Amino acid sequence: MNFDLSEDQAMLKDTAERLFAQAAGNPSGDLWARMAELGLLAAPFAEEDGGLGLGPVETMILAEAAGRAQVLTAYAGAIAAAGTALRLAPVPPSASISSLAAGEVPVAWAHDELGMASGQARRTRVRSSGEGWIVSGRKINVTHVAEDGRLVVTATAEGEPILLIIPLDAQGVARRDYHLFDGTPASEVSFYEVTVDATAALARGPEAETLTERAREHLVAFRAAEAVGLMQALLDATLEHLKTRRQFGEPLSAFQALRHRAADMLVALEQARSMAMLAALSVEEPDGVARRKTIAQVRAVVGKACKLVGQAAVQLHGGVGVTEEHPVGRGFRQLTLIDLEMERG
Amino acid sequence: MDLRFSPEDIAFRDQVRAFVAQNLSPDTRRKVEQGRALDKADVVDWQRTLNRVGWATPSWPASAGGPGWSAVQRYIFMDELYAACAPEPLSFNVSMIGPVLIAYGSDEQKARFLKATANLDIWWAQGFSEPGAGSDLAALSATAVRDGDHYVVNGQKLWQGMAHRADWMFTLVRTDPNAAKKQGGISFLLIDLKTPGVTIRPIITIDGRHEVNEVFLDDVRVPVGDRVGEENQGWTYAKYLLSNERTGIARIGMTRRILARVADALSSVEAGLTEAERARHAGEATAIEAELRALEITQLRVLAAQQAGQTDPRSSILKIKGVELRQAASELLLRVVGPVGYAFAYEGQDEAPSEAASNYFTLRAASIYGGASEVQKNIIASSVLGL
Repeated sequence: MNFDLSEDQAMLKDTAERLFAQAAGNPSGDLWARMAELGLLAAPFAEEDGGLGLGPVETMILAEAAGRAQVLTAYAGAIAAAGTALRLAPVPPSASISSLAAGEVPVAWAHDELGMASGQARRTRVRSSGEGWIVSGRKINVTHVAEDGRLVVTATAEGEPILLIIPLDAQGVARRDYHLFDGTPASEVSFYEVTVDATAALARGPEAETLTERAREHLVAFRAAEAVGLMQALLDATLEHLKTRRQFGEPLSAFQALRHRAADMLVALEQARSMAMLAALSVEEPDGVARRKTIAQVRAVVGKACKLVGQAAVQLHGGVGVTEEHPVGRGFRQLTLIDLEMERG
Repeated sequence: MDLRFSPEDIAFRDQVRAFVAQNLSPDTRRKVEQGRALDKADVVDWQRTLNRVGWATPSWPASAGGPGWSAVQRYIFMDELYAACAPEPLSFNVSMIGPVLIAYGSDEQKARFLKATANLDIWWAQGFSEPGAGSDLAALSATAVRDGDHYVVNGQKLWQGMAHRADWMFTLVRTDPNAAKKQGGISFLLIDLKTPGVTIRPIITIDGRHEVNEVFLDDVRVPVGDRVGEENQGWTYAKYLLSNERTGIARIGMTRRILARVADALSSVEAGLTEAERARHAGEATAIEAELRALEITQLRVLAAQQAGQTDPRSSILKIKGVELRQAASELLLRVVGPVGYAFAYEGQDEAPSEAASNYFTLRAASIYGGASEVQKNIIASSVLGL
């Protein structure tokens, strides 16, 4: 039993922290291209598909570093969720994986639907047509959709789950763009009788169900680690504020009620950190029953911590914490979104 | 990064598990499982059973007669005891005074006390708190005045757990009332409770039980040789004792046992719950279980740091969260058990049908003793957060 990072993992952490810190200072730069250059997009994929063959601990390190710097990246949907579906598909689509890993053709994760709980059967319908499939339906909150990219789409075909990979430029795909409250670019994507060929199906039936579940579990593990980084950033900012801001002739850190609230933040953060580690160490666990239970526990603890740390950070910052431009206000919105995602799974 | 135990650790775990299964008396097991009070003989017998194989003092180094286990082995050992509903070795002896004697006792004190302490031939009580000195322990006012080769001790000590069963008490007294700092004039004395002038009075707590006491010290003559370490340096030894008390205080296995009783009660018809109530309580049990899983990992992280020789002030997190979860689980059990849990066994009466109420009331003290949760938060704020 040990909780230490290997030498390579420590180097990765260092690289990721530097990259994300730069990106946070320069939001207009092309972070995705930089991540591709450094090989970060290739991390979890098999070497024969152009990947680095790294594991969930490396993904956790990246996620935490991104959270710490409060940068918004497409990594969660593209690599953690969609990437897992591609990687673990019965026949992994090599070309899609290598172009994703190289940063050439991004992939977005299209799962959420209006009025459906995350684990329910999808309303997006697929029927077979000669050599291929015809897709109809609508997805919401598909994040970081790129014009020239692809979508991994969860759907239902003849009463059974199915997973498809569909290019954005296919005939009949329409999108309406907006932003989520954490600033993430998102789209509602509609499929009007979209025809794709047979190779678009990544998995069907029970295999598709498992694949969807695995993709969602990897997404939870990523977001949990991202939340840990975010909570650390908010706690650090809060401690700095408590030490420097003076009221009633004293620094805020002299007031016990505020000191105790900061201690509560640390307790919640450390519990969440334990769960982010557990998620990384469990997400490839072959025993589905044990894995499902662990992921449910991760969601419960991390979601609760996001709320506690986010709300306390805003409260302890006072008025400045509720302003649009302050990092703590933005971090609170990021944590709130993760909290809601953890609740719904 | 790897959560798995080594093959050696797993072999050790299996060895402990087999030993406990073979040697724990069914009656003691039942009492622990149901949260009932243990008799003195239950505790003594079990401690001696463990001591026969050298396991009664998990944290003691081999040089002091302990098993010399690693932090991970200690964790595994305690976890197995909890899982098997076995009592913990008596903490006053094993976690509190033992390590202080090992670190600071004279050779004569070690020879006289360590073996007897491990075997529970001597039962120790802790004489720290006073009516005017609780969380602010250094404000204590019991005095010891030198008279030849004795100290004459006067004062009142409070909350002595199991002092009515105890033979000796380790205690803090003021030997220099004029010290510049209140922490400076304190000495650490060992007092034989049979000494004239010692009076022990019971305090019945809200759980209906007699566990704690107040101890009056009137002109009690204590040989100078029963002082641990240097005169006026007692605060150093007390801090060492308190830091040992905090490690392992998460008591995850104990909370798990309470949750097992919750699960039983939820499926029992006696509880008389509607489906909506049952679902709500089950949801709360699931939430506690998730937090407990996280705390287990947090504890392993602190252990791993200790294993690497680092002291970790984050052990305060274990105390705060561990107590919070134990209290939450005990409250949930009380709500789930239903009307059968309203009947209560007052001290000296027969067993009640359920100990849920008694356990709930007992555990309210857990966030007060061993460093109140508010004190732990102060420690976190200053030592971890740098506020």
